Amino acid sequence: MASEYSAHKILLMGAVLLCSIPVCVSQSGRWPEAMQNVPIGVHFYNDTRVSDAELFAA
Amino acid sequence: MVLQRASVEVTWQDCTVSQNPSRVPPECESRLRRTDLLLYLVVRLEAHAPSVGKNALGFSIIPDKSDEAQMAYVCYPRVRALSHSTSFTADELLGLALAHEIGHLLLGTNEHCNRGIMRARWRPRDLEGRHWEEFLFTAEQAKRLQRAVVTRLESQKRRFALEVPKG
Repeated sequence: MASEYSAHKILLMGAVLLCSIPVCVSQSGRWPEAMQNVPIGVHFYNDTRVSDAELFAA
Repeated sequence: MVLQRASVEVTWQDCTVSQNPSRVPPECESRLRRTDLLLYLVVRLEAHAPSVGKNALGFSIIPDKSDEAQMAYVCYPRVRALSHSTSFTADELLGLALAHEIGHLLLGTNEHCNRGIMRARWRPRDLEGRHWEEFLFTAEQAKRLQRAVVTRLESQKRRFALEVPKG
């Protein structure tokens, strides 16, 4: 009975660990797969004499 | 590149006022959408924000909570000066400075973070070592940027729906 209980416990712990893996990966800084591009527009005003080519290379 | 890594797709519109007004694209004349930002590249930052620190590369105007932040300034001579003491070129630093200010505008705060591109002070060792990974938005910031843009898009849709006459 005791060994049967332990086996169940080990299985349960294994399942918990497996389920936890994606969370751990996500928390460790991996980029969420579900992120989709979102659009913004930037109206850019160059009040210097820096050329467009130089700026947009940035 | 920095914003792209955070899944923010930027469309740049050069609205620089030239001597020939016909060269200004019509998009620059039209009303701003809520997802539009205004970025000014200037020579003298102190002329636009006297209280800004002398080492700051730029600053963002963050209005009250009710309004969305849309306007920021970056000082090119300061960017260029910093590039002389780092391994990044002026162009690269300019891109980083712009991304930092866009971060402030979209996140709606002038607060900084102790990680990534939203650090208040970029670390000399990262600048000297060209540690690009230290100049990215964190995963958490990227999510907040995404949410902010989605909120602006929804707000824009609501405004458009109110303005378009029915029927």
